[in-house]
Amino acid sequence: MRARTIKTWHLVHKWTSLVCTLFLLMLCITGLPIIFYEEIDHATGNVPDLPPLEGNATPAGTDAIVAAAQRLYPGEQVKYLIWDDEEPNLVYASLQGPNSAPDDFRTLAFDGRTAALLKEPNYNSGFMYVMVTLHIDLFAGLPGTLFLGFMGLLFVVSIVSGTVLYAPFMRKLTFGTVRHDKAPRAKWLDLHNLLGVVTLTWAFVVGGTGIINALAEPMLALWRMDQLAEMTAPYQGKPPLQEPGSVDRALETALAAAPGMKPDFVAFPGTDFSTDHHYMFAMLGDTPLTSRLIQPVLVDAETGGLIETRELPWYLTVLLISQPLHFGDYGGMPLKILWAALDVVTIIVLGSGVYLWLARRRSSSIEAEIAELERAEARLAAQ
Amino acid sequence: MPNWNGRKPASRRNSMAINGSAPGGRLSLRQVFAAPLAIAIVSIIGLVSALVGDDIWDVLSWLTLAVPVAVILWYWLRRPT
Repeated sequence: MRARTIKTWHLVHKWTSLVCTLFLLMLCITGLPIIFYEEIDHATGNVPDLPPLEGNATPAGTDAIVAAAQRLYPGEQVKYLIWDDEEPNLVYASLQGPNSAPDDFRTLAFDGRTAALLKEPNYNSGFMYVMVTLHIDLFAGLPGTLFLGFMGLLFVVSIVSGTVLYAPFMRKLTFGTVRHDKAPRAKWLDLHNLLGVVTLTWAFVVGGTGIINALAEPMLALWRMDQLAEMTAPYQGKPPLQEPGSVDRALETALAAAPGMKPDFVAFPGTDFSTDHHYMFAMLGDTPLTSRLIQPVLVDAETGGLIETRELPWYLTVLLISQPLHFGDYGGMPLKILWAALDVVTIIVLGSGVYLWLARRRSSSIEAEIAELERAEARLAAQ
Repeated sequence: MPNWNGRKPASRRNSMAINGSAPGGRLSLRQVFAAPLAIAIVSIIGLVSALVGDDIWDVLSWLTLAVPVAVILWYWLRRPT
């Protein structure tokens, strides 16, 4: 590789890294507890236990849950019902008042068998709320999310450029060399290169899926304008419903339309995942892959009749697959622990990069090595 | 003049001792990327495996994704004798 090419790649690596490192450090550090979100949620008592039930009563049904939620908070409306991943009898209701911020929901946990309220978990304050909100948008809403997505893009470019630079600078050292006996700068350069090149696949995947996840809201908006509008065109211009119809009846329609699937959540009329006149049931299959890919079923909220069900467009499929690959929560606790270890390694790569830049000296640095390469090239050309 | 790795360029002959210099000075591109490429492939297998199945597929993910972590620990913690 010519010296000038190396110089260019070095500049790319240096500048993309320097700009994104502070934010990537924040993302890695907040990301660490988020890997164990489920466990922390359980430990802090946010997940209710279902009490044992006598006899075999028929389940209360979703309409009863909605009614119970409305009775408790008459000023608010149920926007979503969410079925717990592990416990099918645990149903959450998300409520919002007319003056709430768009992302501000009250969550109520119900026993699906009796429609009894189990708990009102708190997702809107506390340590994990701060960690998650910082990680998703730095408390700055959609602009914050898009900014962090751009930092993720710089991170990915930094990884690629770092990989390109690995070649010329590791020509003289066997793999895994760490020069403990030399100056700290040499040792940390070796560690930066070793840890970086060994974890680059994982970092690239987590960084890349982070960018995709940052685009979730725009992608959802695209789906609404494109497929959802197409599926519900006859309803354009109709006045919004006063009272949506029975959820139980709509759920039956959804189950019939997606045989063998079970509901993940249902979006009520007037939400981001639906229109003013429809329930949108997100149905999941039971194989490892189909349990992550949502099959949307649109049901008329007034009549309970099926409107349509079709597969998600490619960009939403990409988004849904990007989620487990980013979170690391799809392979049990050992995978989460490895995810956390790789996260810590990434923090060390980022931190050592900062150290190497801070500790650079004018007379001995990468620039000097590049200058040496230029001289060697000139010598070769002169022969 | 001092350069970044503290050694004179190109003229040193060393055995492949733990200080890591390659004999004759320069490794080929294939030699430089052999280990990183192998680890990258193993990592991809690890990332995808638990996604497509449970049980044995999960275990395959744990074993393969442990490789980069193990490699790092091995090379960082070893010292020249």
